[in-house]
Amino acid sequence: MAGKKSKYPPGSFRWFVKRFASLKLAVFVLLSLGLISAVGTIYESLYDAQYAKTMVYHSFLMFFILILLTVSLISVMIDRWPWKIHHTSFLLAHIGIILVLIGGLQTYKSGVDGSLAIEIGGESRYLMMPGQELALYSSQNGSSYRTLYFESVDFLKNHPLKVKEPIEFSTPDGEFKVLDYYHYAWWNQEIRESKAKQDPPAVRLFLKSSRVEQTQWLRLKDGQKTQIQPLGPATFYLTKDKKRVKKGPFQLVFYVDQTVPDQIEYEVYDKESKISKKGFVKPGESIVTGWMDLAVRVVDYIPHSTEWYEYEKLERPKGDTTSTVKISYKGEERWVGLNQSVKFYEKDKVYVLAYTNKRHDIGFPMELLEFEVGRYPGSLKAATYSSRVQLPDGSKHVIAMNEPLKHKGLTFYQSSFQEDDSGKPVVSILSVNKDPGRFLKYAGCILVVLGCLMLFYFKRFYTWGSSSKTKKEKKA
Amino acid sequence: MMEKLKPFIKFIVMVFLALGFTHLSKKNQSVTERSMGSIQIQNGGRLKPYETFAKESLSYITGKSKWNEKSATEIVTTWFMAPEIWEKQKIFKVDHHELKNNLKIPLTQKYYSASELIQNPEIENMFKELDSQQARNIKFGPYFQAVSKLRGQLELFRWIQNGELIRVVPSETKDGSWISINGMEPPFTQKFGSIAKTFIKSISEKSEIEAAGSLEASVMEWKELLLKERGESLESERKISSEVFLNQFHPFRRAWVAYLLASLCLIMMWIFSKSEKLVNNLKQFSWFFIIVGFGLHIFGFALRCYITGRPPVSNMYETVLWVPFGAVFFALIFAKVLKTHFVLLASTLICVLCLVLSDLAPTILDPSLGTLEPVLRSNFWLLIHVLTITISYSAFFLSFVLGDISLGYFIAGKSKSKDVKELTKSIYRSLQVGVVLLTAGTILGGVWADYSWGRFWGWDPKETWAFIALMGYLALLHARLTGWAKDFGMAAGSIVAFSLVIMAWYGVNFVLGAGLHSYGFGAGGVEYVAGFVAIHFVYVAIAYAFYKKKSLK
Repeated sequence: MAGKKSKYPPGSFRWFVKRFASLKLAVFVLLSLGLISAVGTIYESLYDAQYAKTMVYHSFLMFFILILLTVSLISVMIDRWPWKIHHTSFLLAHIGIILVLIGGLQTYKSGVDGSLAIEIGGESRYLMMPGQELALYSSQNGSSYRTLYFESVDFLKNHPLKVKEPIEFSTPDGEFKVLDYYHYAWWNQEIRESKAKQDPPAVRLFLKSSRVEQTQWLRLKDGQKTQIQPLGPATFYLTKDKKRVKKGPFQLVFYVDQTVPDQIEYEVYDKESKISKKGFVKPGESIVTGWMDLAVRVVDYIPHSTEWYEYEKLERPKGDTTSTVKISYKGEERWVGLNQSVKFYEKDKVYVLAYTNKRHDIGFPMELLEFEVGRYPGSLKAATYSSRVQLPDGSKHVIAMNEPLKHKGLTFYQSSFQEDDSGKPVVSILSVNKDPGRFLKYAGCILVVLGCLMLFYFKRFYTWGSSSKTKKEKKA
Repeated sequence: MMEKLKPFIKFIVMVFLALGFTHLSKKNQSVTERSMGSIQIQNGGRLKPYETFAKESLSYITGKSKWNEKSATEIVTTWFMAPEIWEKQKIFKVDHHELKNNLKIPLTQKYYSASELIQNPEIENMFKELDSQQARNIKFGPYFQAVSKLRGQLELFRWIQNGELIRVVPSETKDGSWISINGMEPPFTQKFGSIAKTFIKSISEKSEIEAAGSLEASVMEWKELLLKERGESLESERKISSEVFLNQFHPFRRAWVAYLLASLCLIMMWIFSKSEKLVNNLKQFSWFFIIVGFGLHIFGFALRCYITGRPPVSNMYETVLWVPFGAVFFALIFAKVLKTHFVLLASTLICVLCLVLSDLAPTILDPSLGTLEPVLRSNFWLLIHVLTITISYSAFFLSFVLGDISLGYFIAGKSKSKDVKELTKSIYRSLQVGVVLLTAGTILGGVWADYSWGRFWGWDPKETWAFIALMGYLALLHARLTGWAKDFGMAAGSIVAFSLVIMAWYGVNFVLGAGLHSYGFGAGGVEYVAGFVAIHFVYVAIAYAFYKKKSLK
């Protein structure tokens, strides 16, 4: 080392190059790259893949090490200038790695990697992305909404309790503040009474026959007039509008009038789709349907109901968990789970605060025509699955395991599917991806492999041992 | 005269030894196995010989391949032919301490009967708890794994007892699932009935030969009937008999015996290196044993490939067979090119270690021929990528054992020995081969991931650990260039860096996979593997102490 100092004055370009071209630095960088990745895998095992990505693989330290690696790779190539024929393999390998790194950066900057869930027979154009957003909407009539605020959030990195200025949305009526955040939480859902007159009605039933004994909620969703709930051969209706009920066999229909808080009108349809019974029922009373020896007791009737979630904080993921954020508005505190929203009513309007995964519009809708699961003969183990989809231009394609579809720069892969309770597939999940760095990565990889092969096996074709030469240089 | 005869005698000895390795005694097979063993049954998503089904079931429930000296085929057949006699037999192996505690069953006992387990008042709650864990998608810790296994054992036994799992008649429906003995229709009912009758006769009567004959005849009739009625749904008889043969032959067990003999010859060569004549003789024998072992090894692989129709690298068991295969392959090449017998010794030791492990730990390394996950099916890139990465482990394994041998010289104070130079050279070559293959394999993994998942690199733990191992070895090779790692450094480095390979190969599945946090050590032999790694770290430290002491002088 001492000899080199005299060759290039300290502070000059070549002096810096020499410092960064040091093999000792290379060993250090390689080891730290290995070490930080090892930490990442342990994080993934303790938490989950997304956590490891945010905290380790996409962390500042990781970027720093990779930049150090790049600088050292470039420096060592400059240091070997002028290049000789025996440098070929070393150059190929090192240029290859740099290309791969640039490709990786490109993917990180402008790649798309999300998932597209489509119901069988339905269509979708929005990808679910790993990032998260917080949005505030307001509405005067309950049907058209205006976006007031829209912000990308990463509460894992910027926890509301740890940042200096937590997120705040101010409105003429008051301020929305983000107070707290649980990255991992279990949730329990219950239906509660609400003070807001706009909120929909709900009925809790207890079904009893010789075969079943179960509790069942019927609840209208916001803006909905009718809710239909099939249960085996029977069908349950909850409706505000009598005209919406179609005649059918084994039906139990509840008509709610939200202004009457303590009783509900009902109708029972028999095997021949005729009304066999009708009347009013109060909470606590039962209706004997007359079919399938089924008796239905109305346990609860809530004219104005809201879905209420309780969250339990977990240090680490355990089974199905969600993230949840605590917000306050005019003194009222509420927890909002990921992909949920809460409403706050003012006299003349409603505010909706939504906490959701980022969405990405792919620019065209994709329709799922069919979905098929092939199983290993005589077992329930899935062997293959495939989706038949249709694009807006009318063309039909099959996306299967290892047979992706490429369209408009995006690639669609069959990733998984969801089943209903009876084990019938209902939703196909495609992973959708755009990787602008792909070409560089492949090119880089080819160079690396070529370089490695030449370095180790064809070295003797050139002057013997670039390695022994570098050794001498180092010692000089 | 004697001198002239010697090569001839040697040849005869070798022929006899070779026959000894490949001979399969028919006497090992019981009457039931010989006849009923090759009946086709649909189970676990594929068609297999009844014998395989019986062995897998018996081993899952009892942890043994035989029961009271009776073959699995015979035992499992009596489960559904005479279910009541098994109700009170203590055949269920339950190991987990906490589980036994919660069930309040005697802790010292190893085996329990179906009736005592089913009637246990605690068991229902235990299974309910298991369901609630499952409903929330919580990964099972060792306790719930044990509960889940117990439930599996009981269910498997019930389904065999009531005959539902004995699916031996191809159906004509579209989904391809076979009909069990309960759902059979004539003429299958009659023919299966005659198998049952002759089977009962064969196990109860004394005139074994006669009873065996009639059992064989009824099985033959069964097969002919199936072939006539539902021939198109059957697996080829040759494939089925190959699997029966594989079950009986144990090629990998025979291979490790041959490798063990080879390694003994090589160790003797090393010890008696002064006597040239002896060394020459031993050399011939060691080569002979390696070739026999290698041949059996290849033969075993070929059989498995033929039966499953895919290369044998889809689970831990298969890679534990594949890695030593690669080690011998590289050793044979290095031995020829580098003129050193250390690589041969190293490779045979690897083979003995891996093959004995695969033979002795069937609960951890599952030897059954299973079906593949959807994403792993019929994928050329997967194949190439896994083969490349795992064979790079072979090269690293070689360098690891060579490093062990080399450090022995440092401890013995012979660090200047010619052998050390030879070892360092072999280590270096192995590392080179390993690094190239691991680089290529990791990149191919990226290509595969890109092809099937749409991303080149996703920081999946398995790929990340392959990458970490690569970083470790690259650091070692660069350290050699700086002059940090010489004879000692290369040997010690190749030992230490191999722990990264162990992590990538085994640890990701058994340590990280089970979750580092709440469960700790104990599942899948983690304590043994950790001990193995720890001992080698201590060994390196001791060697370093000796090395420093020597060089200070």
